[in-house]
Formats: sequence, C-alpha cells, structure tokens
Amino acid sequence: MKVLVVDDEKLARKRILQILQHAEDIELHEASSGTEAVSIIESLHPDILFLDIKMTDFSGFEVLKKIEKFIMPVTIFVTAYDDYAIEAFEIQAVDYVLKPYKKNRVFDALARAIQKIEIKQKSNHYDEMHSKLVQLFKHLDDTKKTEESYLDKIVLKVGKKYVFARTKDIKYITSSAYYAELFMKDGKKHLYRTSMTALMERLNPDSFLRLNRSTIVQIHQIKEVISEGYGDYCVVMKDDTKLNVSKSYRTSVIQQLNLRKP
Amino acid sequence: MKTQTHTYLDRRLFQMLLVFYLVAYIIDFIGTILIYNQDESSEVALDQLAIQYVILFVSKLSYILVALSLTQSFFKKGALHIWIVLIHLALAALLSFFTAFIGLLVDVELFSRTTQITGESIYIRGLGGMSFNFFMYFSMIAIVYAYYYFQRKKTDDLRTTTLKAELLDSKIRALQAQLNPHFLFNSLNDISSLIDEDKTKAQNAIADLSDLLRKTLSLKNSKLIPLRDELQLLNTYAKMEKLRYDDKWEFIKSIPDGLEQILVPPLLFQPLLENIFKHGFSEQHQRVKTLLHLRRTTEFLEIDLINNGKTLESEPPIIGNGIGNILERLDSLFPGNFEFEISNITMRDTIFNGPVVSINLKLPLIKNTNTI
Repeated sequence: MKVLVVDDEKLARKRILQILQHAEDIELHEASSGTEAVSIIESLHPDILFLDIKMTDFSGFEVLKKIEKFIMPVTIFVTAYDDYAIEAFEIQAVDYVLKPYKKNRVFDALARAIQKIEIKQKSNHYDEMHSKLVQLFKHLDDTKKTEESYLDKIVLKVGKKYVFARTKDIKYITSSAYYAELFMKDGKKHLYRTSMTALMERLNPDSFLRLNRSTIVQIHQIKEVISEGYGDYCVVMKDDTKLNVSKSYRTSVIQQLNLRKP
Repeated sequence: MKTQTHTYLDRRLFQMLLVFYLVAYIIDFIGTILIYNQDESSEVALDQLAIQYVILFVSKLSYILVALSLTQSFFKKGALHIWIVLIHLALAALLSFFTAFIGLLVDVELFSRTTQITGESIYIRGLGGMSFNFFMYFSMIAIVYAYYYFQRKKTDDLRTTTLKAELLDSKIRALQAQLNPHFLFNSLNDISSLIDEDKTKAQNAIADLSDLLRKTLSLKNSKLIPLRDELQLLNTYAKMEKLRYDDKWEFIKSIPDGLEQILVPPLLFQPLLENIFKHGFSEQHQRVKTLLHLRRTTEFLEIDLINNGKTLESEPPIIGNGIGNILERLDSLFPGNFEFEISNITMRDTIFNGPVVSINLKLPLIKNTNTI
C-alpha cells in the first residue's frame, strides 16, 4: 500500500514518516508542498494520503480539487487547528489528526484508512468525495475571509501626515476616478487611492453593503430604503444623502437588508 | 503663522479674558463712584467719568491683547525665561503710561480741560495708576499661561493614554500571533518531531518558544526599548519560524555594531515579519528570502525589510491591521517625524535578483541616555 505524506513543514513530515515506518506493508512517500503533492499523486497513484490543510502555496483542499476522480486517494487530514475539522468530515475524509499527536493516534487513522479501502468499494468513496468537494469549495469561498483580515481602520497618507480612518466611523464611500471618497460620521471626507472592489474585499460584509459600482454604505448608517417602483430602490442615509441601488446589486441589497417585496 | 495666532487667541480663552477684565473693571468703576459720591469737591461730572471709563476699558484691553499676541510669537521661538519676564514687566509699565496718555487725551480733547499733555503729566498720572495696571496685566498674563498649561497637559495626558493603549494593543496582538493556533501547535508539533531526531535541539526549541512568550508577556509599558532588546525578541521569533519553514525561508540580517542603545518602539519587527508569512508565499513563491538591513544616518534609524515573496497586488497597497497598528503607534510617538514606505521594486545584487517587496522605515534617532 502506497502512503503519501504531504506537509510543507519538514519536521512535521518527518514526525509522521517516523511513526509510519514501523507499520507493515507500507511504502512511504513524501511531498513538501501542495504543488509537489499534486504531481506525485498524479504519477504515483497513492492509496492513502496524510494531508496537511494549511500550506504556504495552497491548501490541502485545493490539492484534492486538482486530483482526477479516479485516482483520489483515501485521505486523512492533518492540521494544527480544528477550524477546518467539520469541513474535513463533510468531504468524507477518513479521519483528521490534530498536531501535535501521539503515535497511536496516527496508527488508528492509518488502520481506519486501510479498513475503508478493504471493505468499501473504492469507487464509491471517490464519487462521494468529489461531490462533497464541490460543495466544500462553494462554502469556503464564502467564508474564506476570516474576521481578522477585515480592516478596522483605513490608513491614509496625506502629504507627510497619516490619518487613521476607523471603518466603524465611515458613513459611506463613493468612487471618483482612481479614488475612493470616504465620508465620515464627523463630517470629514478622505480621499483614498484604491478600487472599490479591492476595498470592499477588505470590509466586513456584515457592516458594509455595495449599492452600485461606485457606492459602498455602512449598513448602520442607513435611515430608510425607498422603493421607487419597477423594482428600483434608493437608500436614504441618516444624513439624508440619497443613494441609488443599481440593477446588478439589487438582489444582494434586498437579501442583506432583509427586504421583502411590497 | 496664521494657525499660531489662531490657536493663541483661542475663542474660549478670549471669552475668559474678557469676562475677567470686565468684572475687574466694573468693580473698579463701582469703587470710583463710591468715592465720587463721598467727595463733594470733585469737579468731574459723573457722565464724563463713565465715558472716560469706557474709552479706557477699550484702549487698555486692545493694548493687552496686542501685547499678548506679539509676545506670544516671540516666546513660541523659545526665548529665555528671564527675557519673557523682563518683556512683560516693561509692557506692564508701559501700559500704565499708555493709559495715562489716553486719559489725558480724553480730558483735553473731549472734556476740554486745561490740563497739558507733557512727558511730566503722563509720568505722574502713569505712576498713580501703576498698581492697578500691573495687577490687571499680570492677572491676564497668568490666565493665558495657566490656560495653555492646562491645555497642553490635557493633550499630553491624552497622548500618554493613547500610547499606553496602543502599546497594550500591540502586546496583545503579538501574544495573539504567538498563541495563534497555527503558529503554536505547528511549533509544538515540530518540537515533537525534533525529540526523535535531536534531543538537545528539541530542548532548545522548547526554551526558545518559552522565551518568546515570556519576553512578550513581560514587556513593560515603556514606549521605547533599546534596539538590542527588540532584536532579541525578533531573533527568538525568527528562530521559531525558521524551525517551521526550514529551508523555505532564509533570513539575512545586516545590522552594524553600535546601534544597540538606540531606542525603538517595542514589537515593531514581529508584525512586519508575520506579514511575510501571511502574504509572501504562493505557488510561484515556494522559497522566500528576507533581508533586514539597519543603518543610522545623522537624524534617522533606517530600517529596510526586503523579501522576494509574492509582490503587492496594488500600489499603494491597502494597509492591513498589523502594519496599520504599527503606523498608528509611530504616529503618536513621532508625529510627522517618521517615514514608512512599502513598494514593489526590482533588485539586482548578491542577495536578490528580481522583483522584491521592500519596506523602508525611517525613525528619528533616539539614544538611550540612561546608560551614558
């Protein structure tokens, strides 16, 4: 039975290899990155995969996504943190092992994998795994950004001076040419050189809402939403600024603000 | 200059001075009327006295305000205290003679008195009003100085509080980064692996990890620490990351001798390095090399942190919370007196050959005076 150990950290790889070398009837291989893992899986067709989830080039999930259905190995996820554990089970991984681990824990996982290969028909496993992977990736795209990557302040440089605009103090943002104009609660206005899309990616979608190509608003700063008929909406801010919702953003605005059709 | 006079004749201060002056003047006027009523031999009519008071009120106030505005611009340039006192004394004396002159002028021009405006008459009348004018002038000066003293104290207190909060914030962030499950558990897992391979190395790694946590925990709330201490903290952190990334990450330091006692804000380097692990690696960047280069110029400590990982997607980049916090702290510590730049550049030298992300930070040179 061929076993491939994938981890971008050399010592972490060594640890598993060290444990597994005592197991019988096993041929051990290793890969030091996601990229290497994909090419080894494609050429070697391993039966079992010990796969690290968070790697420097790309994630363990992305490795699996790149693998053809018919060579999908039985997978055991290895991770330092179990924020991915539920996803790992959802995609029918045999097991997941948390770092650091005891010898027996790794053996248990290996035994479970071998059992799965022997008892279950492999093809079933591939099918299940592949369809779950598709679901998982949809889910991961939505939750990819973690809380900490959202900006809590925008750093602006005005000449030699720095201005720190708290994102919670923003009323709304409009764009003009290469600049975003930040309208703050205290009535100040800041110019920030960036694209609206790049900025929106770094703002918490629970607090900010895009109304059209050139407008982002802070949800708490909205006073009312007016339906103007024919499915057109416009948003009135607490400072009485009126902003239009464009057709392409209408659905997401309705959804985010929980609006019902009148 | 415009902003200086603006802050000088602050509206609230102006109101305070006006009220004080008005009250003092009214009390003086009441006193004069009481004396007037007692003294039947007086030749001056009451309405004339009132007019005189109003004219003197306005001219004296204008004199004091002009004097305050003028002196302030001198003192802002940092004149000696002795000069400040002497100039105020001279101005206070002059106020008395100025008032005497105005008073005589009113007597002659408005009330057609026969008094003559001569140096002697101004001198005599000026000496008579000296005590009241001195008292008035210095009271107002005292109000101005007290006002600015408390205002400055207020902003200083606020600055200290903000700095303390920001430092605490960065300490918590550094601890969070060290206790970040991926950093902590991967480090522990690596140590677990090292035990099989090299017992001493494993023991050293445990000591390093403990050191890192301990040093961060025990950072005092000092705004600045010697560069030597900050570099020790960085080295311990870098050692742990090196244990994890092994040959995927190369860290080169170029630090000349003699910089150890320069003071820098604590936990400056760690968030900058973390950024490299967060954003530097990609499918095309499996190995990353980082250079930390320090040098001093006459006014600045210059810090270059260069790495050949993934380049910035946009320039200028959207600055994240890690670097944003550093900048905010630097801005409170050295307002307008530091430089920070992050950009994609191309380098061709013995270390780098190709595109790199370069962070350039210039901090004012502050030496640790305690050790000298």
